[in-house]
Amino acid sequence: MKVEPKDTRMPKEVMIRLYTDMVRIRKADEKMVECLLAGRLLTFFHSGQGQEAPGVALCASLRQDDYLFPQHRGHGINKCLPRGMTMKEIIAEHFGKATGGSHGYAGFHCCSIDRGIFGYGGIVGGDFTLAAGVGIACQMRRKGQVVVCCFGDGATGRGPFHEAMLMAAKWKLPVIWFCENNLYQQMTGMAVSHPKVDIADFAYGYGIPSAIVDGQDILAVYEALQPAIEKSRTGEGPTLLEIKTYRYRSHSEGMRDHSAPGGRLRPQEEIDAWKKRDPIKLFEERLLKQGVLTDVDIEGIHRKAVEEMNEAERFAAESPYPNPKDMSKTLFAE
Amino acid sequence: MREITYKEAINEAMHEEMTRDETVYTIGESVSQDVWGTNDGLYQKFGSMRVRDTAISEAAIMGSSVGAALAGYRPIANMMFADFLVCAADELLYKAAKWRFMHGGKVTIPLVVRGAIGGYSHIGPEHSQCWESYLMHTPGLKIAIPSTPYDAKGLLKTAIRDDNPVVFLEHKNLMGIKGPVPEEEYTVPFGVADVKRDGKDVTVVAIGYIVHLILQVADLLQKEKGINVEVIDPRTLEPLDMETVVASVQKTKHVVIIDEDTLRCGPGAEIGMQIMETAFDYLDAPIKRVGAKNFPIAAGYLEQFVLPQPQEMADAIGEVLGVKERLDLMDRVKPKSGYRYRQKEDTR
Repeated sequence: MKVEPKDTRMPKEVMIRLYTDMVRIRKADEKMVECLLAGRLLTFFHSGQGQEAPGVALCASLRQDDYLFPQHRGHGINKCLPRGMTMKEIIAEHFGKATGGSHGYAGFHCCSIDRGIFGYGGIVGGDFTLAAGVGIACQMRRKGQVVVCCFGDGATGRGPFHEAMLMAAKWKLPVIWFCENNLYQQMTGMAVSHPKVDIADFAYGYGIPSAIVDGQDILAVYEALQPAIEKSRTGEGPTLLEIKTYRYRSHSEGMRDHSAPGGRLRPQEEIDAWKKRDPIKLFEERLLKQGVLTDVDIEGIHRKAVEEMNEAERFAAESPYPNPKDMSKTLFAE
Repeated sequence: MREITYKEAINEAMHEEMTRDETVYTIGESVSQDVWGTNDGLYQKFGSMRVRDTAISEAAIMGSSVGAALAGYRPIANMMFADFLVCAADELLYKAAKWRFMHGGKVTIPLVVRGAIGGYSHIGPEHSQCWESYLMHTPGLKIAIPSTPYDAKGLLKTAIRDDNPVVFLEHKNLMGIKGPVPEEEYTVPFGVADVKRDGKDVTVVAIGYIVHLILQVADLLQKEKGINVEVIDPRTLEPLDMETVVASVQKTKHVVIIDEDTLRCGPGAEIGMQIMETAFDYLDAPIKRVGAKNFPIAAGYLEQFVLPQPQEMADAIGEVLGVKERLDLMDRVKPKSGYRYRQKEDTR
């Protein structure tokens, strides 16, 4: 299945929403980095700057009752925000506050069950098999729901990837395997660990369709998702989508990292080349050219996003911590 | 009351719960025709959507069950041998056990994990373990280990109805043991220990198949040495009913804890220490433990030198009571292989 990037007949408001969400995600990520470096986060941050497009395109393609495993890169913000989670919930969680999306218990493991967003764990690739199981639930419920399992290229080194792919393929589970391939797994480049650079090739062995998609072009991702989701909804089983993208910053903020800009493994020219195809800038140019947005609109969208993030930080800072007395009733359901 | 076997009791619980609640399904390797026959008739009755035979993919069996539980179903993941749980360690010890807590109590994970535990079958260190100490060390999991057909059925029904992940460990050697099981509906609550034998001289806390062995040893001790043993089966290790244990210790003043898991950091270590913390003043002698020696469970001939033997149990009871003359069991109580039992039945 080859998908050519092309303009869609998407309504103007939808295009503006996609653009706005990408800007919000970038500003949210910048806010998290700022807070971490200032010592205000109680936990990690794994920046996802450069990877805004895949999540926004994905959320624009899903139904309310679909499910999503967002994965750790950028702490899933590129899906959680467009799926309706607020930055207040996300940042308060990172501040360890009771108003966080998981009441301060999750730290960087964001979740929002009422929006179908399951969290992610501390083990890379730990959610493949869980997604297969949500696929079983969707299949048994027969309401045409799908589950999207997001993961990075690095996670494909784990056994559960292959166990889950096999299970979903055999039972035709409604799972979209959504690989955001940013070429680096923690501090190691893909060329060091994998014999081939295309994750999509794994699909062949499991007999499921796959596509390689330009992850910097949000409309290309959106286009690729439509047939994949449709197939899953109608009982034709899983698809593996490999979204080629790139992260600008190091694996984890503040950590020694050879893949950090200027590091041993990652030449500055590579980073500069990818930044020329920044997903926000690419889409912005298109919207300006098509007259969907003006420079003034764009300036307003950026300003509002910055305000939103500042307000979220204030909210988190002022929020109370969770009560440790509640821990035992949280451990087990009554 | 009618008598049925342990495996028949488990089979009845499976049939009844899958009939009662259509969100219950079971999944595992050859789960439609499991090694011991505990799933007999399920596939014929409920079909391939609810009795799911998988590839040899333990992580996918466990992980998919956690996922389906998150999305509102009540899976029963059958791991065949509990030893295979280690192939799904992330999925069980992290995802099943931690995700509710980690997400601030926003999710429920109504999951049952079944697995056969235990040795004395000469099938080597990777098919003979008892897993309870690994599990007890993981907050967020409930653990049930039935020792009788009655408990097996009642506890499994409770496990399936519980909104939390429950690891249900079935002992291979108990599969063919018969016992009274009512025909009418009942459940056995978690966190309630059962006094399997009333006694006044010494409290023996025993788990799983050991309960079956120690009851035979206790009868001989009574008959030949006049020692009156009280046997307490906790039945669930999380939640753990220490009240019943401590009440018994207050009465007998002597304790032996016997379990088949590796002695070091095993359940005996935990239960013994809790007795020290809460009932030390009642003890007339130091607590004794009997368990597997600190080796992998050797296969074949050497197995008997690793796993706890009935003679050691009798000796430990004699020692805490300061009885000079030892009771020689002369092999009158012998562990039986649970794996052979099924093989024999199949070839008949």
